[in-house]
Amino acid sequence: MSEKYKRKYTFGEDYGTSYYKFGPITLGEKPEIIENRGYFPDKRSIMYRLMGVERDVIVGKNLPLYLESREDLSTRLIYPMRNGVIDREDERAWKVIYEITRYGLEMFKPVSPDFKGYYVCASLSSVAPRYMYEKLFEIHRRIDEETGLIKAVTIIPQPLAVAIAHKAPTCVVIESGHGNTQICPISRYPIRGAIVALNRGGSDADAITSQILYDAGYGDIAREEAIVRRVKEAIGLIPRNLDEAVREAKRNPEKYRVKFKIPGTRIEIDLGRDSWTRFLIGEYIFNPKNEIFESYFRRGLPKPKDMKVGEVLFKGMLDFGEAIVEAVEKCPIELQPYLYNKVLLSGGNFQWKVPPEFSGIAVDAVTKIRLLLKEKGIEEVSVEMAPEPKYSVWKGCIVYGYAVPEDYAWSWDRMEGWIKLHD
Amino acid sequence: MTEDLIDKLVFHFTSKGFMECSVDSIDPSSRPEIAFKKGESRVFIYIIDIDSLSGKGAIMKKIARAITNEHSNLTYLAIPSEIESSIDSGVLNDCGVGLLVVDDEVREVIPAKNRVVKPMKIGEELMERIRELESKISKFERAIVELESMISRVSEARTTGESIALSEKIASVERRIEAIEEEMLDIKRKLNMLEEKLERRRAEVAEIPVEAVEEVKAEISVEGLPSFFKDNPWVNILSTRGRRVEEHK
Repeated sequence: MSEKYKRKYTFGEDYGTSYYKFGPITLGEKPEIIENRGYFPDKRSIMYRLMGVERDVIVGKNLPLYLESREDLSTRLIYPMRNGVIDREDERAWKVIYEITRYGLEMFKPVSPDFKGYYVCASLSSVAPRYMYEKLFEIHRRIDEETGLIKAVTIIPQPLAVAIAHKAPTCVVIESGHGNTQICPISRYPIRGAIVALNRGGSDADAITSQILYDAGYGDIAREEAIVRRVKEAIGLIPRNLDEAVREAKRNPEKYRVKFKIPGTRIEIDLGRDSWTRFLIGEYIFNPKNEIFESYFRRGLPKPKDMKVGEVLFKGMLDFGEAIVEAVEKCPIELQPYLYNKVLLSGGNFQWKVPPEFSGIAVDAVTKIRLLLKEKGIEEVSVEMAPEPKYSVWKGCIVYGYAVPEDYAWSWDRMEGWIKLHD
Repeated sequence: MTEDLIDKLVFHFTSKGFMECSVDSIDPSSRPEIAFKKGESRVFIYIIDIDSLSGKGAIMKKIARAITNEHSNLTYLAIPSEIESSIDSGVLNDCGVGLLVVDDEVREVIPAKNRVVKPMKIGEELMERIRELESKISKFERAIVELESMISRVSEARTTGESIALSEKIASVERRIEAIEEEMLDIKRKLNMLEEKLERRRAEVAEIPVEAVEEVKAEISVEGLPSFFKDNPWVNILSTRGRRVEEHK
């Protein structure tokens, strides 16, 4: 039964910080995708009564239709995985996870009589503590009891899924998301003791973009999170060397001048002679230790701090090069050259443009990582960007779910295998 | 009246090279009406004018203050000539306190005796700081003098044709340095691009020994499955989970 059955009924779930990507193996190359969030409507509101909403939490593609006043959003709209870790006692966040998991599975409820439940492979952040695994298993068990949709379930760390999707059994995966970055060496198994977590991600680039906009006189725009993110994506550059890039941009201000018109509005942002600040946005993600950032910290830019979540210490100010070296050096010496031989970058935080006219001054994420490692004396290194990083975790889940034998039972020591929910 | 006396005393002492100094920082119990300084030597003057005679024991109090003062090298009592007769000059003489009688001019009737002075009540730290500041000031003064002489030399040179030629030369050198800097930056950019190309080539040809030595026999079929299954070594690695003892870190 196994192989043939799994060809139809393997199901992948990627609980990303911003999006939940899910779907069965039969979807082919791309999963379904919804925002990883849930909305708790105000049950007293007229809207609630008119719409006839019965559930406590709304998730899925139609969620925006239920949104009410803007003031309420911060308390009613919950992004449970914002930091990759959910508190054990955060009932609302777990409620959202239950709802989106059920939503995803019910979207692909097969009608075929041979269906006995999916082999579900879910994926969590590599820094997720054990209780998150327990909670997620519990949620799947409950959904199976209610729907019969899950035959067996397993959970793998996201970097392992990335390595699987990119066909790399020995590598270092750097997964950089909205709130944090995980560096995970892999050699057929994730080397859990060597994982390094950074308390820095795309949201930090948003923060410095906001400060740059504020300094340039666009204080109103600086407060709009979604607009700031678009500005960051449009104007941010990674410098090969920050000091040289700033000097060059100040010398040729017209060449580096940037204007950005916010689509659908009359607003145009023009950084004018301060266009050199574009380079700060990219540098800040990779290396926030440059002296130039001190003046921003003094003016209120939140300095990335060391932070303990559960048992994991998320480091704030380590540059990406140092973090990779720290992770690799926790592995056996013999393995280290092989790990440097394949450094995989994954996650939306590595998607940076390099306009051809700035080549030599601005670089892409791959080159920046290579340069940071070179500074630390690591030259024999191969860095690659995961193509289509958005879907690679889901793809890895599908391969894992399909390939791992069904009789390989879950072990808390190994943190892998299947938990069978019903026959 | 006191102002008149003070004016005359100031004239008297300044004409002898003394400088008037502030009495505000002196302990009130021994504070004089007026004080002077010349080098390290300090002079305190206690004034008894006709107005102060109306207070009971005012003269005695003033004399006592003058006698007990330990912070000046020379101490004087200054009085208008009208009350000269009421002062016991012998007592003052015994105590080392001088007597100045002021009418149209200032007469030194009894000279004051020079005494060793107790240091003022200023903290050692403060004194140290003052000394530091003084030394800094003197350095600044020297620097200012040097700068002034340099400026005067430069302004003298400017007037000559030689200096015009020199500044033209400097400007030309500056232009050349700027051009060289730009060229260097351009070369550096090109070098970086070449390096990047080289790195990419290296990455393309780089072999990954671990994968090369792995000879994994396909155990399950991936035909008809999505493209990410094709040539994926993980399929076979994962399909052996639980089937054989594997190295596990």
